[in-house]
Amino acid sequence: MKNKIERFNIEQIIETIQRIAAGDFTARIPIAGKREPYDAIVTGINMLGEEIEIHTKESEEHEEALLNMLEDVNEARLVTEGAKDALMESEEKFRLIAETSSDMIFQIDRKGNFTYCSPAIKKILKISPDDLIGTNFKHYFTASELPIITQAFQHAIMGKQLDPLELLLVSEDEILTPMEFSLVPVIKNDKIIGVQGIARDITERKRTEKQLQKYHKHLEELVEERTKQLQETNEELEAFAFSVSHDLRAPLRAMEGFAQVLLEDYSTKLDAGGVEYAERIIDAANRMNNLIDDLLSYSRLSRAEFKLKNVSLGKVVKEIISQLEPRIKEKEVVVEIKTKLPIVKGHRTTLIKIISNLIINAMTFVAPDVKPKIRIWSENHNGWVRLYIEDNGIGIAPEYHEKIFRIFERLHGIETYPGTGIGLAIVRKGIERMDGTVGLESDEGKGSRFWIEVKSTRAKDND
Amino acid sequence: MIENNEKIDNNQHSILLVEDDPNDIILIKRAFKKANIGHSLQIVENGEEAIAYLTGVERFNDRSHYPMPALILLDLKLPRKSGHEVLEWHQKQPGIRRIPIIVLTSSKRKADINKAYDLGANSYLIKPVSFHSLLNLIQDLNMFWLNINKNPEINAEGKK
Repeated sequence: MKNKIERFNIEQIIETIQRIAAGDFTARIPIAGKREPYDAIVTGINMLGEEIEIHTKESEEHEEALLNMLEDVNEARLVTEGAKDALMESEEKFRLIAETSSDMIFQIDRKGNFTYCSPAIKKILKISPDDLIGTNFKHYFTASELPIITQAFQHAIMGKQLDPLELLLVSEDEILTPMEFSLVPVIKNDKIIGVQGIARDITERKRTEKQLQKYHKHLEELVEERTKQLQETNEELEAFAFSVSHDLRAPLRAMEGFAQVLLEDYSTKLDAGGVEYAERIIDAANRMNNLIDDLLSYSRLSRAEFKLKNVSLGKVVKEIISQLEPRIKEKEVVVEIKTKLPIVKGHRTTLIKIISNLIINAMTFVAPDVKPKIRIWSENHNGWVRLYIEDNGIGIAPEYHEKIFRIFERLHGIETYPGTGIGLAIVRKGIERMDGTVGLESDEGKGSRFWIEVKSTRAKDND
Repeated sequence: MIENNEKIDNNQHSILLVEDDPNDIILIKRAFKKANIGHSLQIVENGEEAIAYLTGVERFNDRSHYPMPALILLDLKLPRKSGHEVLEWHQKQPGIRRIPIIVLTSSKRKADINKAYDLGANSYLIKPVSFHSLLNLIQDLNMFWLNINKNPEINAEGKK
């Protein structure tokens, strides 16, 4: 019997019950060996303990959740209070900005009546915000600009994006102030309840703009005036050239013509000296005529405006040679064109003048007993065409290579080689007007190789 | 020299030269003579006289002395009325405007040449400096304008 009781250890049972009662729901009666007849009691107590333990745990968890919730609520309350403060603060900020801004800040309801306006209105319209509130915006614009602001208001109320508008604001005493308006819709609960905006006084800006315009206009007038002066000068030069070409030729014709009459009708009364003098008059008249021609070409080249077009060098040279045919035959000149000449960017008439001057020079400046031989060819370099005209003439010493291009420069007496001293000046002026260059390779007694360089029609190539 | 078919009346035999330079007048007359041109050369010395001649007023009211020309040789730089002004007037005269006008001047100016043609000039010739060239020019002019070219009937008898 005693053994049996010992097996269950009554003290252990009591202790366990006491522990559970004290709240230790994890306490259990240790089981060793057979459990009869107290088995059921012991098992029952243990099950009870287990049951209590589970329930207690659940309730603890519930409590914790509740506590957490409370904490959240508390926090939320704190946040809301902070937001309220922030809102108040920003309202204060906005109020400060609006109240102190020199820009007019305003709100208008859907009917177009003011619901708010910053004090800046006082400076501009000379009325207080209170007087403005409730009145319609249409009262404050000029009749001509009313349609513009009305349309802008309508667009803003429809939620359309608007560019800033420059409009005049009219005060009660009819003073006009230029303002720049920016309008945006006021949205509340997804609905547009009105329009708010900023209006800035742009009097100063307008004044500056006006001043700038005035300067601009003044500058334009100045340019126009100068252009007119230039045109006048050009016209005067043109008239001068006209006068030269017309009036100077008339006496020349008389000199030449009457000297001719002397030779024809009075030859019996003239001795050899008289005949020679008459012939000299004729020569001089013809030379002066050439001089006038060359001077006019030169002055025209300096003034003329010309557009560069595609010109076939081949055709130009062919045309010049056919023009010079009588002289070529007379002097027994051999002209050899060595390459197919390309198309260049140039001014046709000027190119004809330049190249024919060079060819005429090539056949003129030869030793008396030499038959002129002229070779013409072209080369392409980086978008430029270089045309060479080479002769077997008397050549030019290097120290004169620069000088010969100056107007009226001559290296030989008129009796030895004819010429006006303007031919190469025309070549240089003409080539410069086409943005090209001219040069020569030559030495005394070794012939001359003149070249001109003009823009190619092809971009960049070599051949 | 001239084909004397019956269509050519006496009026068609004259040429009106409008030229103010006395030297040029002498040399042109000489060239005409040397070229054996049978047409009579009538000469007036400014634009105003040219108009008076063609209208047949003032001292030109006798067509037997101042016949309607078959051709007009017109200088541009003239006293009183310029050659361009004569062209402008000529263009507006019924009958008279049929008479071919050949500008004979020293101006090689593009603007002058264009304006002359715009105002109805039929030809534009530059007075050469050498007399030989002038003679050649007058011979060519005779060949083309008085022989090859078919000229119109001039029916305006002086006044419009």
